[in-house]
Amino acid sequence: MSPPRLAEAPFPLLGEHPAGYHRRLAVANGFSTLRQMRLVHGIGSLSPRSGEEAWSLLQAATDLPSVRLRPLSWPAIDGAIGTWLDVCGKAIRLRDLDFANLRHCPLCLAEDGILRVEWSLRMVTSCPVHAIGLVDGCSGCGRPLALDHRTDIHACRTCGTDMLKSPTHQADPNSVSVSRLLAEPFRPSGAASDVDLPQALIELPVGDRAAVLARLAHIRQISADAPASASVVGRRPPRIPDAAIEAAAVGKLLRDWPHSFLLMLMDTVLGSGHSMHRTAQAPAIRLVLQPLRSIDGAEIRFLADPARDLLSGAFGIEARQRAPGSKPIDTGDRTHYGLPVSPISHAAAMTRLEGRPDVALAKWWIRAGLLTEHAAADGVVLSREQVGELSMRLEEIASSNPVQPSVDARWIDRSLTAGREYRKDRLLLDLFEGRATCWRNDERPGLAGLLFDRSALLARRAEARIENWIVGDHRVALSPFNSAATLAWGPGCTLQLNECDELAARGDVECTFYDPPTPGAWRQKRWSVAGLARHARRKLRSDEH
Amino acid sequence: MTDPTSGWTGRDISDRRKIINRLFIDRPNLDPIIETMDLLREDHREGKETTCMTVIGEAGVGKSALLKQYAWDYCPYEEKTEQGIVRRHPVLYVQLEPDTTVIGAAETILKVLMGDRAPTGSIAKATILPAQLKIRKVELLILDEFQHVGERGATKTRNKTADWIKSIAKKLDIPVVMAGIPVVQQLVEDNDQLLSITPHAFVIPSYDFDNPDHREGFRGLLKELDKVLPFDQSAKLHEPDRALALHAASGGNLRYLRHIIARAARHAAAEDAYCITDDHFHRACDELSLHPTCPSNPFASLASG
Repeated sequence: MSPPRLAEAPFPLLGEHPAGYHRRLAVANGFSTLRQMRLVHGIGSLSPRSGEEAWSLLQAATDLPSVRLRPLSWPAIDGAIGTWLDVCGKAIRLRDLDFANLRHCPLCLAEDGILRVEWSLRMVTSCPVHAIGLVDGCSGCGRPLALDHRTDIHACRTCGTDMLKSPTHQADPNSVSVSRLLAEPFRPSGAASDVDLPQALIELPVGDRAAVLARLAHIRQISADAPASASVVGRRPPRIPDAAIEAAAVGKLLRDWPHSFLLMLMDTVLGSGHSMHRTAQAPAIRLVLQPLRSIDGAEIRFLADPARDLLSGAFGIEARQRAPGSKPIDTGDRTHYGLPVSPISHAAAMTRLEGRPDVALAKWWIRAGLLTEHAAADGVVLSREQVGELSMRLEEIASSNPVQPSVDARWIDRSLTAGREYRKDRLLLDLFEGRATCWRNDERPGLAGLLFDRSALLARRAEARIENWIVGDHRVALSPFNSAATLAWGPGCTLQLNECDELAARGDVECTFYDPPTPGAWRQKRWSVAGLARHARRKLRSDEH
Repeated sequence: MTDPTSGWTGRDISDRRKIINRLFIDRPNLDPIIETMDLLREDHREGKETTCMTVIGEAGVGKSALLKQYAWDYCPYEEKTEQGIVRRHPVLYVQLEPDTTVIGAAETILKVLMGDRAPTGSIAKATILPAQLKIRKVELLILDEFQHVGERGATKTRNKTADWIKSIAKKLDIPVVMAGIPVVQQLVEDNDQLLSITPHAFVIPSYDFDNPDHREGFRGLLKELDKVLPFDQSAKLHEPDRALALHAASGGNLRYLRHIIARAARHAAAEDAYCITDDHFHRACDELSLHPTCPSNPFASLASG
């Protein structure tokens, strides 16, 4: 015998949670508990994972078309890669949903009494409409909120506190952005238009958006807990306070992507002084580089400058696969610039290669600033084309200019003969990218200076941190320079004057020329790189104060 | 004389039986009752003060048939709106069980509304019933056999009953029709407050053949009944001899009358006759229990004649 029809059979509302509809249905039909409705009409518990029988009973009692009731059930999607649920017509990954904690916005609930689907998304921790934090615990007793057989969803089942009177607080704008990004498809009037987030991310289906945000949160979790195990997966979803912090952090990352992301990683992963090789193996980095896949297995690419490419550039993804101490590896279109060992060791390696026991050779390279000392593997990865071009230019310069023999000029010859592309091109890179400027003095040809201005020095510090350079690393005392820094920088670094002119004429580098006030004062004006570093250090300190 | 070829003769007997089983005649003298019920519902819809009514009569005078027919005319319906589907029950007819309590009455009402799995107990009376009456937009609640509520109880029980009716009328603003045997009116009159909200009282008497008005009314009823019988020829039920015999057999009680006519009609239909004859009535009266006031089969002489 089929159950009797309900007097009121309202349509489920767009974005309404099945548990909320269940209670609204009971209230509309005069039942004070779900149990009463179940006794009469046979409608048992309605949750997104209820079986077919529950929905059949609901359909029989309401006589609503099944297409109207369909959004209430969230069946698993067949053929998907991983576990995906159909949530109101949108594919969402199961792990991006929170079934453990019941969240709601007190203001929304007071307005329309509707439990919303988007509150079940893990990264939705604030109300996209009211911009206040969601609530998942009773303000009276602190117990997690949960639904029971009562139809009244306003009162805490433990202490009876009216949840509609929960105190509210303004949510972090970043977490509100994240919440709006995810809630927009479930709300009749979308709020995504004011979401200041990457357009490509907004264009993703909501399930992929949630996956990207979850990945960022996961990476952040791991990097914050470094050294980390990967045990964060499968953990019970965090309560609102922790989840809100997580969401706000992810929102901030997205706003400043990719730079803030790199900085975050550097702060948390690199800051502890990990070697580059070990760093690249860090769980956070591995997770960053691991492809994020959509429902059909396709990789989610939502940025024009994906993290992986950036991080490959920063960390040398291929290089990290090399063991420390190995020689650069040519992988076809890439040449590795990372030197895995200290310059002395490298020089020793080179001398072994060349058969000349000339340890001093390396010193010139170091003094020229073309060879930097870093303790571990990996450096900037440039393409072969870039290397080739720069190499050709340097050779042209060298061949077209009468090189005045000088002690300082030998490094170019040496570098030319050394066949180590890294070193000779590195300087040009610095010039190309404006990290260094050079100057000359009219009265004395052939001598110019390399000036690393303050901003360039800061940038170099950032690079230095990536490549674990000693110079510029604020963790290393700049005064006095340790022996390694002195060894690296040497007393000075010069270019031939005509080389500077050539570069300036091409517009490839901007040269700043300093005219000394009086002849002879040039010497006094000539700063060693070490002196430059000291000068920069003083300026930095005064700025910080 | 009805054209013998108007269509009933030769038709399947089941078609005729359907008509016979649903014999009902609108009786003009009962129009005030229907009009009052319409008025009560209209007042309810317009938000005016709610009042109740009683419909009293001996068993078999036609109270239940009238009230059931009225409820049937305003049967439950379903309406599709923009927000969903709503189901309304404008006139709710409930026949109460013998020796029932107020809670029992509430349970019976809920059963009619919600089926056999309706809630029971005090919660049914206090919470569920009021909610269901309101949600289903009941405009008129007809409680037939109302005398059964608390019939074995003392004054306290009867007062509880009265209080319950008042709460339905006053708190839910739903007018109540209390129908039953004459003791129902006594129940109402014994409670001043209930009496004050029950200004409408109707009595449906049995037909008294000695009363010229009743006699005319009875014959008029028979004439109308004749028209709806599924036969090609009129049985001339209203003719004096036949009407007298039918009144004698039924005691003027419509229930008895209906049984007799229905049985005779079945006999006639089974024989595929053009009309019901005295012989059919004779056989029907022999088979049925006649009204206690009828000592013998009044169609014996008519049938033999």
